[in-house]
Amino acid sequence: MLKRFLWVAAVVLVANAAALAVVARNGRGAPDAVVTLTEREMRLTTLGTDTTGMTLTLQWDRDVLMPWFDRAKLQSIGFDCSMEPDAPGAFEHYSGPGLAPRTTYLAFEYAPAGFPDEGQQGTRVEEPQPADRANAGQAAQKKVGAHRPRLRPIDVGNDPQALRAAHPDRHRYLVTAGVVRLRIVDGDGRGGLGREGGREWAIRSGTHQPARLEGLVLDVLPDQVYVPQAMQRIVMAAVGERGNREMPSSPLSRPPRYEVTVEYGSGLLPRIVGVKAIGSR
Amino acid sequence: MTTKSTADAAMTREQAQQRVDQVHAFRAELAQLEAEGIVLLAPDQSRVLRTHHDDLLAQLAQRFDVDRTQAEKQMSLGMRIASLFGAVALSAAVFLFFYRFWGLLSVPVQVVLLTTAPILIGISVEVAARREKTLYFAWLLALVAFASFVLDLNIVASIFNLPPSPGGFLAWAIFAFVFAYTYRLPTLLLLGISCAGIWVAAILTSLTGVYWPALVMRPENFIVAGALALVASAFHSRRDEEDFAFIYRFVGWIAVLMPFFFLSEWGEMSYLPLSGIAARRLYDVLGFVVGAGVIYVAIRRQWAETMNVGALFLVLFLCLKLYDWCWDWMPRYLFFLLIAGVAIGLLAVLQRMRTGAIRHR
Repeated sequence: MLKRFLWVAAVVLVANAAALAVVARNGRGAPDAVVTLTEREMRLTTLGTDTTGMTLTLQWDRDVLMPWFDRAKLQSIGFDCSMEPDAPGAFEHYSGPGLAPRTTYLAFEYAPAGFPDEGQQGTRVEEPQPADRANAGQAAQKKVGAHRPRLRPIDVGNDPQALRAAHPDRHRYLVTAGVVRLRIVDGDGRGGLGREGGREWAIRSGTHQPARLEGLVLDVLPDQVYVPQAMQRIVMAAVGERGNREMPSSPLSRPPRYEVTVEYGSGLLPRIVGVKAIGSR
Repeated sequence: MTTKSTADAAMTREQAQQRVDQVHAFRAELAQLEAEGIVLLAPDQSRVLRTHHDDLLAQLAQRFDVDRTQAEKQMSLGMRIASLFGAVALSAAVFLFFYRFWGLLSVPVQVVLLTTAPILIGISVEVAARREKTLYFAWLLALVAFASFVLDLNIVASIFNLPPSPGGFLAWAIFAFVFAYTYRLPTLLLLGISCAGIWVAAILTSLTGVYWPALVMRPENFIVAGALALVASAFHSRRDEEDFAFIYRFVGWIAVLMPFFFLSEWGEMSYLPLSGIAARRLYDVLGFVVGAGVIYVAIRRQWAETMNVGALFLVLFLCLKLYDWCWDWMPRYLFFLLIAGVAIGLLAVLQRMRTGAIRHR
């Protein structure tokens, strides 16, 4: 019996010890980044009512344009981009199932006051006027825009140290593992003419735009961060009873109600080191 | 031949049950032959035989708690189903119980609880196995122990913000294998092989830089995992552990054959240095060749489960290919007529292969 017990115990203990060793290694040395984010970027994960644990889901601006994430960048992280995007059959090649998402490292920039180019990107930074009832619908849309995450992917690479060297401000730039994929963008659009028809029409009308490859950030690893027991009360007090019901992926519909200080260790794993309510602001 | 020698010390419960079934079949056939006047044993011979079988059945019943009648067999099936439901419900209760209270506990307490739960439930498996030879409770508790270990690693990863890792599947596989081999539990073996297969496929996927949860986009990795399961099956067959060899073969062939469905549709998923269309055509051909080969081997080796997997694969693969090739242009009635014709043709081919294999033996 003792031998069987030892086998079971050994498997369980070794697996848990391996996980804890990764955590210990991450905590060793100076943290890679310490950033204070708000509810815009750290959304309460919807876990249902039958759980008492709490995690926050990291959100970034998914609508921002990323012209830097081009074919050369995709190639540098291991995607095979040898076929010209405008070549015959390229659309099928690049949009097929052969191009699986890859793991790499991402650099994110955080701008607490908003990015200067947000207006040009379609993101409105001004707060809406609640009294403007005539334009209630437009105001609601502006409001959503105003509370979009102020965290943007700005760089990608397979070497996290090189990314950190390129973006040394540890309070403004996060470097984290992530998942990216490649997509082909048909320069002429498809419209009602289909891809080939659209291209022919664009060539005839002189508006032809060559197809291009671009990268897409699918996820960050990990995307959920556990809130320590002592800090859960602060978050719950800030968001109230209904706080759990909004989907983390939808834009925040109100001003952020809490801010969270996240520390990324030397192993690029995050942990929450501080939570503060900002409802009284 | 003595009763002692026939009830082998190394016999498993499945082998004991097979022996019991064999004795019942023999008695029924002997009674039939006697009724038809073909065989008539002398009273002494008949008594010796009956005593021998009665002793054997009693011994096997005592050692292995085997089912001696059809009614007992049906009861056993009911108990197995009840155990499975119990295990699923108990595992759900463990999951939900922990999720209900984990936020109220400090991190060290959470880790201690999570780590000790599978170990303690594992000990209870041993206690149950000692008290009950049929192992229904041991099986139920082993499944709950496995579920609690899955919960353990998931929650630990969640608490410490660890990204998803294929390593968990290796740990779960080893854990399941420990119970499967210690108590000869086929369900745990199935779980172990599945977890090990996912781990192999995930590791191979991540070696290529692809995000490992996207492992289905690299189907050839499953062929490797399936081939390893088949090697393990051969190892068990050689050791005369047919109950486990059967499970390895079953899972192994499924893992080997399933990727053909994907690769013959999306050749771009292949590692082969071919264009998508070329890889697709290659896997079209390989699908039929491998499917037929599996059936041939299964018939020759008398592997019923492999035969079923191979035949099902071949029929589904053929339907898929006919759909690809003919659906767009062929009248529907003709398409289904074609399917029916192919099914009949397949039946004839299998019949010939079966006859050939029997002649070969």
